[in-house]
Amino acid sequence: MSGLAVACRRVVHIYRAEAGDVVALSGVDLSIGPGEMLALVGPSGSGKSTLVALLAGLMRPSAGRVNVGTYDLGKLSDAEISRLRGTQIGVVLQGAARNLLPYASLERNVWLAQRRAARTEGIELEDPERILDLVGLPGRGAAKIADLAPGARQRAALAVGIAASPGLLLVDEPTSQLDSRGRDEVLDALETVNAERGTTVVVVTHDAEVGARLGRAVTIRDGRVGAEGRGGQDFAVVAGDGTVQLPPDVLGQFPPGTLFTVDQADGTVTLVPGGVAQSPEPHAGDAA
Amino acid sequence: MPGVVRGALRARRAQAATVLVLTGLAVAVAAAAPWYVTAAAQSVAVADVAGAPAHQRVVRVTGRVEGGAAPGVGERSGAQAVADAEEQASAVLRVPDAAATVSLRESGAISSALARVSLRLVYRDGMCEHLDVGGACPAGPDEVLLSRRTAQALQVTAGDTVDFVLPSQPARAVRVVGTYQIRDPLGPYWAGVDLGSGANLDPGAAGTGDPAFVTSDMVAALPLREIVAEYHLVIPERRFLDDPAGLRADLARQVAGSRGWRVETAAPALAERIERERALVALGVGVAAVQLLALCWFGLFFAVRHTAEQRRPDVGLLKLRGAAGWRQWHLVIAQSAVPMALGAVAGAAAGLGLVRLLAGDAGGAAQARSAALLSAAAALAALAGAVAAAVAADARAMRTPVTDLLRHVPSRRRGWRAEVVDLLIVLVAAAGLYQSYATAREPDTTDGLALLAPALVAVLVALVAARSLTPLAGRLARAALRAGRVPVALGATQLARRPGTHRVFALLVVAVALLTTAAGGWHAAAQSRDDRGRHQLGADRVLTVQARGRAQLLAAVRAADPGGRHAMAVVRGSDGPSTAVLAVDSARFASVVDWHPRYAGLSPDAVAALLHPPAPAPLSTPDGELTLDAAGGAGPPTSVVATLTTAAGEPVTLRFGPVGPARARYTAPLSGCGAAGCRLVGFELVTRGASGRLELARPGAAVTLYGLSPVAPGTVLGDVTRWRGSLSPTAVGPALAAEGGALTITALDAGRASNRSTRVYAVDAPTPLPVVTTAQLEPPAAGDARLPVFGGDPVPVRFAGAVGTMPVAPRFGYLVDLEYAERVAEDTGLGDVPQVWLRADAPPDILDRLRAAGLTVISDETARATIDRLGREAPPAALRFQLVAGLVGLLLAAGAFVVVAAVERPERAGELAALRAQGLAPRAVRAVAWGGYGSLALSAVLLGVAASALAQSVTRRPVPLFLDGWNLLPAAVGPQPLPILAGLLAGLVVVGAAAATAALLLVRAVREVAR
Repeated sequence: MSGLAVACRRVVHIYRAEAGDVVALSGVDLSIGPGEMLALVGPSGSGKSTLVALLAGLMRPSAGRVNVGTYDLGKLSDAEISRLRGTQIGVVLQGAARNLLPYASLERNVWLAQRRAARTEGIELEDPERILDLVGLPGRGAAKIADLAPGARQRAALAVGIAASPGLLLVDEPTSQLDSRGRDEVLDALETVNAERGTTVVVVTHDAEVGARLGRAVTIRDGRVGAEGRGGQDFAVVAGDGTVQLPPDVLGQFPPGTLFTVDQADGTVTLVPGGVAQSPEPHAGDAA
Repeated sequence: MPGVVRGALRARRAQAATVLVLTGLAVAVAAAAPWYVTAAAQSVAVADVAGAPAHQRVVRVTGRVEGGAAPGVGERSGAQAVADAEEQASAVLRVPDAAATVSLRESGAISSALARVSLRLVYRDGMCEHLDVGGACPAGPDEVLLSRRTAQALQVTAGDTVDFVLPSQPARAVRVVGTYQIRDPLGPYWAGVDLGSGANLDPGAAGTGDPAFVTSDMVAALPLREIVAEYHLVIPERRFLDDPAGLRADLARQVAGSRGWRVETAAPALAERIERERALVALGVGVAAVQLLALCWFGLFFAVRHTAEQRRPDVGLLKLRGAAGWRQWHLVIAQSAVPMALGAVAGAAAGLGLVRLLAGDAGGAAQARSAALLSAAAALAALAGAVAAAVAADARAMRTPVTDLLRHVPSRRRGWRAEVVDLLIVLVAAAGLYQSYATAREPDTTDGLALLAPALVAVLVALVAARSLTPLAGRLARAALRAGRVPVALGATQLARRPGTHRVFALLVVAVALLTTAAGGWHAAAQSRDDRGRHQLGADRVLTVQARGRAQLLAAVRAADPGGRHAMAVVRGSDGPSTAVLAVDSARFASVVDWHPRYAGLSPDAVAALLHPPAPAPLSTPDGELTLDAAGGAGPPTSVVATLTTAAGEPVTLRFGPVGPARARYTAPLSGCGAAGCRLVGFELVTRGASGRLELARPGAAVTLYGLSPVAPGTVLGDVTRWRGSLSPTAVGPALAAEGGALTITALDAGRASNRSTRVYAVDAPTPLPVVTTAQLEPPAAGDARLPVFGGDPVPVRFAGAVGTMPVAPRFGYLVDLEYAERVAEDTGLGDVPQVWLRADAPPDILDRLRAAGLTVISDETARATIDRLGREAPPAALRFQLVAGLVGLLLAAGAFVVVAAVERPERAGELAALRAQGLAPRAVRAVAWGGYGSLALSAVLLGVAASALAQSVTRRPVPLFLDGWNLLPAAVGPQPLPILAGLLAGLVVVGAAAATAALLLVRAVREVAR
């Protein structure tokens, strides 16, 4: 199975809570190529986990489209999404222990995660021991999660996530609470999976170094894609509606409501502040 | 997959064990109930048959067969007559395997030189085997066997010749070959027949006295066109036990086509009673089993749903991985189904084993097979219910989205479904309660709704209280926080916030309420059985005896217990099915009788005093020569017969005369009086009739008595207050005149010759006879009050006092003094029962002393045995099961409590450990743990007891105390202190132990997490 492409177009998601509605995503545009490795970074509450949940089909967007491979997730039934998760989308939840049955061995956990794919035609599955080997846990099939060190637990979670040979792997905070060695082990395993299988990998992380290691980091801020980092360089991103999020350090100098004139010359866009200050816009940092 | 399931079960051992135990309990109850019903129904049926009076097992078919004078019959042997009777009667009624006895009889009289006794001449199959014969059994056509007292009345012995007289027939001489006393008068051979029934007294009755037994040839040869035949069947016990309904139907069908023969039987009443007993056992046990099963299922559902909280992440993971629905169900259900299956096997074995130990066998092979099949079906149904409960409990997780399943904190929103379920339960409970209250019901019956009513009340109270628990706990928490009482606030907050706390609270309340209600029912029933057993018997111990006469009974008991503290002679009779007539020895009444405090009215001493007011002393004389100083009148020669009685009540008659017109002395020897002497009963004027036999003196005949020395001097004879005529309401004469130290007796004419009397009685007892009655009885508005005493003619009585009720009385009753009643009763009949009532502390050799005094003991009953027999009826069997079910239910609820605590322990321990790390004192942790669980347990127990008290106050008694509706000493209504206390104690112990376990384990878990 080769990697799946992901495309999000103006994705909006609103949580309905007793205290009032919460807009978690307010128009996300994101494209991920097949086989690409991407880090989703951003502060807590920025909408990263929500976006991953939408990509995994665990929730449906309130508006917009989410495409995984050739599938428009908004148009699939629950049963179809469930089948997709069992065959083409692998999910690794935050907290390694949450990904495994504590009373079953690693080998059994991987085997269980393969059951849906095992009944689907056209999918070739690897032996659980081979998968464990792939993530750096050779010969640990009989072990249970309680027997493992934190870094090994995370890799075990990873093994379950890739057990069905998915085209898209979504991983939520795989390196939190790990030391640098553990972090490196996990990242090595992710890279191995991506290199050997061509799996598209999306990692949610707070750690900027993880983003730098993966090559592409997309910053989610206030429910939108704020910036991207590629090859060590940070870029602002023009959203589908034409808005651009200013980097935080720039925003600090120009409070919301500041008027700019936009000059363009020789392919360079210049923003020149001037004029009377206006009342703050709903989305602080937007420049239109 | 099996490996994964095994791993899950190992990891969640405690929860699996709880589910195993709860399922085991449910299946044990389900498996035990049908067996218990069958065994208990069999047991009560056996007890009913064993305890039933013999006449209830007997069918009597009475008709007529051709006699010796029937046209065209010619000479017929007795065997042929017997065969005829059997053939005709058995065509009317046939009961397979019943022991059949044929009797042939005719009424007549036997007279000797001195007396004449009306009786029946009887042949009965196998009669001599059931008689104690002194002499020989009749073998020839003119041989007769008389009862001992008939022989005494006639003053004949074996070898003497007497005359047998049929109406309108010449006398026939027959030879007395022996005397008899009935052996086993209470047994089935003699049951249901009025020949020699019971241990009756009274020879010489005007009605049917003790029969004279003869051969069948003699009866068949009587010069009559028809003779009375009787076909007597003793229904085997097996018929009552195997198919009482079928027996009733058979008897009804056959009785309907009786072809001129009369069929009498009380067997359908016994059969019907057995059916009702069995139905009550089935209903009472069935409803209790269903209640407990419902409690088990609810507890299981609750326990599984709580453990389902731990399985939520498992389901979430499988859903996250896209696992098929059946695989998700497999993983979660298997974690319940495996322990359930194991629990079912263990429970079925334990339930059946225990019930066989407690209730015994289920009867015959067929019944055992049927019971086993029912038990298996019920056990499977219980298991199916348990699995269904598990499916229902896990269904919610299956419907929950993956994101909710994977959340750290489960959703707190109570679905609308739970609200609707609660509302439905409340509505159903209220409707059922109203229905049970509104439905008319006989006091001695029950129905399913009535049995469920207490449970419905408990459910209502429990649900309402449980709903109030959360807001109340929340309010308490806020108040405690404001007051700075942290442990209370923490405990109350956790109580308010934990999902399912109100459910386990409701379960505990219902379980405690059911147990307390069952205890209340058991207590009331036990109390009532005690009251009834004591009331029915009248004393600690009662012997039914055979005696030669009432006076002999009195004398024998007085001889055996001269102190008068331990034994009392009683003759028990009746005046209709609802009225007892008790003749008691008043001097010993207060000492011996078991006088229930609730009889009300007079004390036993007051009763005794009212029954035995002073009366003229009897006229007594020892053996010797009696001299009558008398003068007769004109007319046919008239003799004076003086009737005396020995201390043992045996009559002695002396004839003086014929008395001539001139005053003269006449002597007669008196013997057989013994050391106690003989009492003068009275005089009678007789004359010789045309046949040469003695008969009443003709109207107008008069005799003046000047003295009977040494018994009755002239002063006594001249006092008219010392003499009276017959007390019979129809007797006419004689006329009495006392003057100048002499008594003149004149025979009078009467419209009917049979009403004429020439008998004069000595007054040695008060007339009218004083009686103490039950309060409902009152003297008649007009005319004299009269009471038939000892089955004879009614005697005048005076209502001396009243009591609420009295021993033995079914509803109404009369008490008379035995000694006085014996002196005033005339022409007494059959049907009374002589007894000796004993105190519990009577000497061990009292029976030997009574036998030595001439009594034959034919039955020996104690109050304890009577109470035990009542304890083997259907209501106690049903109540016993309800009590056991209540205990099991309480254990189950406590088990569910422990499960809830186990499931929430990791989370609670984590929270408390985190607070410990922030400075919460260890003492506060202990207070939270013990206070939280302790207060939940205490309030549940108290509320459960209160719910039971409410249920017992507003609902009718679900299981009747007695199937026949006996309520002479009504049981206390409503909740009683002792069972309430017992329920409270049991609740505190069991639920308290569960709460203590939960608190201890929580404290320990906090300590481990904090470490």
